[in-house]
Amino acid sequence: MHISKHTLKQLHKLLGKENVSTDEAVLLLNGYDCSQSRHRPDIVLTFTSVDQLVPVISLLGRAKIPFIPRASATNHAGSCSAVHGGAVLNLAPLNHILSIDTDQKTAELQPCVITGDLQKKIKSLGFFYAPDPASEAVCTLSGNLAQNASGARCMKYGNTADHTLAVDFITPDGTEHFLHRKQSGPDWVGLLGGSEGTLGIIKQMTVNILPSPKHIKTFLTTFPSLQQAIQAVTDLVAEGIIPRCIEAMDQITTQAVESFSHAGYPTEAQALLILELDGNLKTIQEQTPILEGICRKNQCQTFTAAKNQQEQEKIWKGRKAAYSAMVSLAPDIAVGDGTVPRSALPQALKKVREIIDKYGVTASLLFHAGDGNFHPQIVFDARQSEQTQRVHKALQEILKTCVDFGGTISGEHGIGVQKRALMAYQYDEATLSLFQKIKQAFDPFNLSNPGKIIPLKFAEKARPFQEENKKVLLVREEIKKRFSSKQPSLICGCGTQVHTKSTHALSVQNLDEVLEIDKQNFTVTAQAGIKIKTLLQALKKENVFAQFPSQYAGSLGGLIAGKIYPAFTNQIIAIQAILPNGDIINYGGKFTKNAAGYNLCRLFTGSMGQFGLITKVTFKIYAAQPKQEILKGFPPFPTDELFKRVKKEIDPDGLFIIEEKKN
Amino acid sequence: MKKKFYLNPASFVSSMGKVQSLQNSVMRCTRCNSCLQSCPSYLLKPEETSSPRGRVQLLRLILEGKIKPENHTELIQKTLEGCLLCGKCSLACAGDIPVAQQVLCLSKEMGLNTVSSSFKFFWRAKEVFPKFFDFFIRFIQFLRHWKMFAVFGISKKSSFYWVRFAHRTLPAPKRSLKATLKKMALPLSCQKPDFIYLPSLEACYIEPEIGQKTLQILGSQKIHVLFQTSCGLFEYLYGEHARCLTQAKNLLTRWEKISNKKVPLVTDSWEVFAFLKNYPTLFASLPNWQKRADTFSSHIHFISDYIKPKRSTLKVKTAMDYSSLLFLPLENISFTRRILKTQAGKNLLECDYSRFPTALGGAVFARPLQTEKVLLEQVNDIAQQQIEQIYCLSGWAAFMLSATLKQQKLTTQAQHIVFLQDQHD
Repeated sequence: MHISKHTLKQLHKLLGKENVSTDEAVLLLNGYDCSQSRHRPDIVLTFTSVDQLVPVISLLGRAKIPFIPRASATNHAGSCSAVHGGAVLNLAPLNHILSIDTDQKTAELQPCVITGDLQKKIKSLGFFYAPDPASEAVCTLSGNLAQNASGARCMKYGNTADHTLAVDFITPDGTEHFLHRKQSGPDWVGLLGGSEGTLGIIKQMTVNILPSPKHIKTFLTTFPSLQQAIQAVTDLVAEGIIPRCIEAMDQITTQAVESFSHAGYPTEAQALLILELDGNLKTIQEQTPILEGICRKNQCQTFTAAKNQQEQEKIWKGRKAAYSAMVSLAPDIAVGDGTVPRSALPQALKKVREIIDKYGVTASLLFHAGDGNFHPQIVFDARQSEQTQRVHKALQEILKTCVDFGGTISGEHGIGVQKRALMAYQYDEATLSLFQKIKQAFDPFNLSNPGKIIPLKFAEKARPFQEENKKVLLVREEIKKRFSSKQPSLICGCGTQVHTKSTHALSVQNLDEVLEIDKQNFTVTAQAGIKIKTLLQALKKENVFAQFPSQYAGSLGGLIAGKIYPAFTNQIIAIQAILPNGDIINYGGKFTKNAAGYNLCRLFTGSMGQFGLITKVTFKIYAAQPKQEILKGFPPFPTDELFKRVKKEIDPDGLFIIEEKKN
Repeated sequence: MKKKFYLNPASFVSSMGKVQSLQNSVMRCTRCNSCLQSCPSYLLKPEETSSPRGRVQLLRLILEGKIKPENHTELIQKTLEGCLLCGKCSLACAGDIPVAQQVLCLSKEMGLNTVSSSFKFFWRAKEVFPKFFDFFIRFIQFLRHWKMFAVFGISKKSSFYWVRFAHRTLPAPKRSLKATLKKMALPLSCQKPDFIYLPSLEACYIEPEIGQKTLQILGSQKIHVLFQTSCGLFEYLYGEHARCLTQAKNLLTRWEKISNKKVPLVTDSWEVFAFLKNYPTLFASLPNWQKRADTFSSHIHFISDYIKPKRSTLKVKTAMDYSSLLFLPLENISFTRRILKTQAGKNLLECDYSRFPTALGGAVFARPLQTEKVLLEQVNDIAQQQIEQIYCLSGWAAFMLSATLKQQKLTTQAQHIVFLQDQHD
């Protein structure tokens, strides 16, 4: 790509000559990340102050030069390689912790603060930051948000997007937006989770920090089969015990890790679990015998509790050395991060081992047993093209297997350029098309990290549309009819928020079924028109609980679209909606970690039914009643620029209305 | 016309216990970036070209022929100079990639000057004209005493920047170790010694007290001191490989002759210790010498091995600077840490500040500008952690740290590890 002399001169002026480089060697050194992807940018810009971001991005926007944010470049998906050339923005120097507020339990940060640095800083104040990606010693917080990398503690504490409170965000046209979780309208901050810098650049962010648990107890336990290990985890959740983390590995991995690190792992067992409980001493003392009982009930072969910190460190030694153990075997490594519903883990892992054997590749299998996220680490020598091809094929097949088991191709590493083609295997055309519309709304000229996430020519390859529920199909027919006649729709549920007798009203009251209460994965799938009270009764029958406001009289869809109970936002893991043109989109599944595509659950939260009609929702449930929060009033209609832009893309004719036009 | 460079992919690089071809060692980098936050240069300048991963990938690009080194000499020189050879990246690396050794290999094969020629001349004079070297040291000390550097304008010249740096960091001039021992009528050599002591350059010429303390710790009358003996470290880092091998062979032969392959060789410099321990990999291409080097290496000891700790004698917040010019696995200093732990108990701090390691030995003079910046960051960390006493594993580290602490008006003391013995006396 040609960069004009004038633009170069302007960049020199804005950043200083020493921070603008077009040296071929520097360009090549900024063209890779931790994946196999390599693409040469045309210019490398190093930022020394956040104030340089807006003018430089505006300039690049005017000159139509694509740009790729880059800091530690530790991602495994090719998310920061310059596929279309352009400018690499080296944001790594923007790494200052601006403030830590222990009263509000927040930390204000520049985008590229190293996650481990924040952890160290707040540890001395008695706090911790919940997401803990394995590379936290080197990865950055904005990178974590961009990939929604969440680590082992995700099951108990949620993912990175859940812990990001506010973001100062710059869209590719150089406009600055202050996005806060508490403002009305869609959860934009949540939408940025997993967006891989394709929507714009993070200038500043505020994250939640939590008080450090007073006690942590670590357990090492082994099982004769993967099924029994996973059943133990399910039983634990059913008992209301949610461990801080549940790390697991299969026998082949345990043997490889043990011979490398000598951590003292029993190598004869088929499955090994590392469990960690945290909280106050009394709770841990109460939970320990229950935990042991559950493990014994599932015929665990060994059950060891760490007696002191040394023993705790020894248990973790092997797990932490797993990557090194594999790296020591060959010069290259491909890491996957497929996720399946927890209950499908044993079958999925069996299938994955079959694929590994079929392609004759060497791989370890580590997994976060709590959230169904697993990391096959396949080692190879990239200099041997035949071997490399086999590895890529194996990895592709493994990820497809995850989708076949109802999972996702990426739990926390993102899609980047490497898994882009597989997006068409996971999503149907309508959903991919919505992803493209979101990208178009934020970045009409495709400048911010182009060529990532959305597959090329997806219309031909996308997964075929699947929806058999007759009630949904009926609503869809009605919307399609209105779309062709350009007739507006006013979505209403139980009438708690929208009271109307208008002919434009589109009621979802008949979408009132509880489709599934899954006590293996602890999820509920229900149609959006169901009343919360009815839903609560159904849950009560099954003796499970949800993060619901019990006093709310409206429907499930209304609760989400109105965002009147923000605590529920983090609970939604899958959503189905009908767009104003009649397309049905499906996003998510019975798993908590999902970094494949833009988070549509967060887009529809607080959207006031303006982007689409929510038909089906899957959310988390618990064995014990979660802490209730205050139910908020109906928020004002969002008027922000981003809302307007997305609305224009999804519903250009303005067919989904919030109120009847007054003549 | 530009000079064409050729980098031999089969040339050896070695880290502790491993010798591999340059190409193989480069290909092992999976770009995971675990090394990133361990590199003091990267922490000062967060750019890919200042990172260990960037250095390895630069080498890879050259080996793959994607960039022609002759077209990028300035960038390559800058990238290589950024490496302080502290080896912390290799400790953090899952694949044990010897980045420092790769950097040395590249700079040697490309004939890049990583140390000023005036400094090289000065250093080499030590072996060729030891008396001249001694005289030269006195002369510099004389100039320094009468503040004549400024008069001659020496320190202003970039090739003599190391003189200014030395002037700022080294302690006041003192009598050499040899002269001191002679004055005290202590024997310098003996038949059938209990120990052979190889004093570091700083113990010999700059701070003889380090040497005296070492001898005191060894506590024997039968010690053979090897004066004016080069171990090959300087040549390994900045000189020629052949010269390095000759010096290493000389030392090895001398030790065998004096000790009959039995007596331990003790040194007071962690860098020298690490280098001597590395002798078997240095002689990888010479199997006969390698066998002899194996025996030699097993008799090498660092002085802290002989310090007898006394419980809870350190009453102030103490830390250890375990940074080292050469990469050595951390288990090698576990004994030294145990001693400090015994003496300091709860007062021993885990040295978080060590993310900015003191660049030691030759690196100080090869890259004084970078070293100064790293030292300031290190002192900043020390101040934040309110450390009162730091023990260093080499004289250079102690001098530099001490001088910078004084310059920044901190009361923290930085001393060589041998002065732990003072706590007993």
